[in-house]
Amino acid sequence: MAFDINKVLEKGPLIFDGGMGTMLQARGLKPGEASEQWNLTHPDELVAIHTEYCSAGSDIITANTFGVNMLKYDEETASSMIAAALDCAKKAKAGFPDGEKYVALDIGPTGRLLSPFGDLPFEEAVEAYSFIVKEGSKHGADLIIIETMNDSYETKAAVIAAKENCDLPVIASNVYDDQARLLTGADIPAMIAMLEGLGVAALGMNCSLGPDQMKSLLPEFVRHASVPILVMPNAGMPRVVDGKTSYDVTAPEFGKIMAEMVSMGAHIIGGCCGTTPDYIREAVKSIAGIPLSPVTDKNETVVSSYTHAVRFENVPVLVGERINPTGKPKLKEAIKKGDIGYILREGLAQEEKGADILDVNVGLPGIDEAEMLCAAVKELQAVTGLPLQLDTTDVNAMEQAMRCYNGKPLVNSVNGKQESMDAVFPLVKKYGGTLIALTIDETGIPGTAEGRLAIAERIMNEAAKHGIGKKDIIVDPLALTVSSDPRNAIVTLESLRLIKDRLGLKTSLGVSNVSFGLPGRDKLNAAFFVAALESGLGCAIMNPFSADLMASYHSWKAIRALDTGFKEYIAFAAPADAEKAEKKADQPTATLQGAIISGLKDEAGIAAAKLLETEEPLVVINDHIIPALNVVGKGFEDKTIYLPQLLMSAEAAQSAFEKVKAALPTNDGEKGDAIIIATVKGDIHDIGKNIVKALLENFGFNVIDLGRDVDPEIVCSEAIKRKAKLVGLSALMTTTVPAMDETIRLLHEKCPGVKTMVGGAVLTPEYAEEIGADFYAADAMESVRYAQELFGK
Amino acid sequence: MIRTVKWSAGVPEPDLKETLRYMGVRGDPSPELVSLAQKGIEKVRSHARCRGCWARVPVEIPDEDSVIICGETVQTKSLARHLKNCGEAYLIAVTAGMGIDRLIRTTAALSQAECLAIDAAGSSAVEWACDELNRELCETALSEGKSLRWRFSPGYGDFPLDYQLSLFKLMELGKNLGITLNDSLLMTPIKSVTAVIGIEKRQD
Repeated sequence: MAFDINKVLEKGPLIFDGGMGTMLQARGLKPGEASEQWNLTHPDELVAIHTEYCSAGSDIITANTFGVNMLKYDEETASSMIAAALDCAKKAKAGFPDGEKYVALDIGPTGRLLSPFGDLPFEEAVEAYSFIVKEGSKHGADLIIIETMNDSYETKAAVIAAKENCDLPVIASNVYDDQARLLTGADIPAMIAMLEGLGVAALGMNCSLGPDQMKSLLPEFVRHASVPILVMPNAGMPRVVDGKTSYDVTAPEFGKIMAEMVSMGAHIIGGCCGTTPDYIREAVKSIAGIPLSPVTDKNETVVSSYTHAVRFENVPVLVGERINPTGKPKLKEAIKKGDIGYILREGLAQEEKGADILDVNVGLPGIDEAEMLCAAVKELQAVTGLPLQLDTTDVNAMEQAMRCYNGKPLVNSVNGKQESMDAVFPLVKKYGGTLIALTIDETGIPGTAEGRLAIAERIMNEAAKHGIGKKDIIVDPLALTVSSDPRNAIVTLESLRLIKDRLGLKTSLGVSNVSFGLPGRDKLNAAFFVAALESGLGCAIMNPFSADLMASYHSWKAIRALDTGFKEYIAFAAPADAEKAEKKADQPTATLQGAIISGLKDEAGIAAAKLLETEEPLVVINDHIIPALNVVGKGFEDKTIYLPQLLMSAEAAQSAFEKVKAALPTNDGEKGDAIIIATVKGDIHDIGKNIVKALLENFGFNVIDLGRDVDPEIVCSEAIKRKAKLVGLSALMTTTVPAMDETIRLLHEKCPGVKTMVGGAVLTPEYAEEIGADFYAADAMESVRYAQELFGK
Repeated sequence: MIRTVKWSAGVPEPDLKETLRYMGVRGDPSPELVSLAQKGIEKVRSHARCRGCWARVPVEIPDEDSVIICGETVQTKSLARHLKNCGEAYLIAVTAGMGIDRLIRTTAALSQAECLAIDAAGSSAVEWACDELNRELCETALSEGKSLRWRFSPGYGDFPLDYQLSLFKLMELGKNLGITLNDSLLMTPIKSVTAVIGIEKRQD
């Protein structure tokens, strides 16, 4: 009989078992010994433990598969351990009436951190979990519990693996700290948004905390979760009495608090470290007669990142539109070059200006959009906690990006065309996401509000067929320019109102289209924005750098009493006033050379701008910036200045370069020979590499940065693809230097003309020579000098 | 059974002088360097949360070339020398948390100078946390009439870095602290430290 959580819950709270490690240790499992080995060596002990839990009142027993880790075991060993674990659990289950007990396949963390902060690629994690899921479902698990997960991204990998490889219900449980966050940063609403999007049957928390601490986190789950909630605390904190470890919460105390949690809204309970059948027995006893809280849909329109959730409620949500190459030549160039750094800076700047979500669109002809979009998503998520809007018309790119996204994304977009809905809805159903739905269909954009409403309704109904609720659809009724028809804005505003009132759907707009073809666009956009907000707009895709739009937004919120104590308005408006007052002071106080040498970033920008009024851009570079950089570089070589000063000067020069570039005609296509740099496979320390990159760029070199932990094959293929003349490799640790050796060997073999330079804390000139590097750079300036020599600059 | 005790020190107090030294600055720093280092310290303080755990384990020194920690023989002359006359040791693990890794990534996109300062302040933060834990353990040892040796980490001398694997298993560092090891045995969060501290009976 298939296990259906909601059906089982009709009978009352569902009871898991308690600790397994605790029970095994009492039977002689040694510290450091792998408990999953016991599946093969001590099956009788496992059957006995499971039976004890069943007798104590557990409805679900967890097979001892938690430690079966595919990064540790080969398939054959893992397979036999999983089969043995499930056999033990099934044997215990068979001792009770049919349909009374259930067996869960237990899935735990891999113990490795996923990229970008660790080195385990997301898809490898999915693959590792897929094997366990396949074996577990083959050997008769009734459900899957993914538990003790510290990381949202790894949780996502495990849930996807479970969903893709079986039809069993999946419960996902995470480890929260006393600040209600996962170790990698996610809070409770973020996890709920992501996990419900992925279609888990239940979710919750286990391990690390005792019952009292979990009780204080529970209300946040109850507030936001639309699926059953699981709580499995430890038996408090461990302590030692007379040399014996015990936990500080007794079984009766545990039972009492578990009963309180059931009254508060927990649906599934159990125990983690330190709990035993006694704890479960006490819990079962205490919860008797307590009615179960109904599981209700909270109807939240929400997206999330790996840190937090953004809800679409009363306060309109701002989506920063700047990462979109349309009409942005610099961004186009950066995307073509694969210069992720530019994209990151664009994202961080919008965050600073107050964007709640960042739109990411990297669609350009001639690039692999799926690859580029995934790279941009992963890198952006390494630097910002803002949720992202995945913006693409390429369905493959959309799927790949939704898959690798850490959280629940905003997805832009679906429209009323059958083809679009058929392609996009299954993706949202599988990966989770909130959709922007455009009111356009096979016949175009209707000229009336009623017409747009009709398309919105059709999209909503079609989504429902796929099991996608209203809460996951945000309708964009499209802002068309008033310059082509003065009634366009009115129709859009009417549509907003109708869609909200009649369908109860949230709305979104790209606000700047309205002014296309007219001068002073921001002024018109700002007025339209306010009108749209008054018509119920829930989300705006806009430019956070537009002072007019931001002024409208903050002012509207203030007058609509959505800004308690005018905090945000004041934070926005007060610095703007101060800036105006300071404007007069925008005169250079130092020469450009002086500013660069002293490492004064803002001063250097101001001085460069001033110089450009009278000098040609190239003169500014050759007679001012380069000589200053040379002074600093020489000082560093002579050890009269330190590395951080060198970097501060480099950044000051960079700020001057930005001004010069703006003054140059937009023709920096011919950049000259490429230098590729990377931190070698296995090494995650990239500060040194980043410093070398910054200085090389400063001295005018075209640097392609492959990042850190880079596979030798990728270094070679990029060197060939980019026709690189020089490859710079960095390794910080003795354990990763062999990867440098291997990379150089492969480079010599596959691209014999390419020169290599190496650096890093543990390297020596002798070792560099031994592994066949052409040059050993003791510091960043030496790498610049070598490049200058090689390129004849 | 080995008991792993969790420990928390909260917001760290990175040291300005140490931060400057980690930044590569020797001698008298210019005001710009000091303010850069201070900025790094300030950011680290707002992003780091120092936590750790420790376990007290039996050690034996059967000969000059090896040490038996918690029943496992480790080939290492330098640790054998370091633990001479110790019958017990503390295993410790301390981390400044993922917040620093994220902060470094974000800053790397914007300013290498600031990144260097944050990296340096982060190192000083985890050193500070180690010292704090060390101090607490030292008090316990003193009350028992024992004293502690200095921290000795896998990778020092000929103490194999591979010992990280045993240490992670013994103290369940993934579960307890969220520290993970990659293939090259490097830890994430990047500002993390593991070490062995010898417990010596006082000879008086």
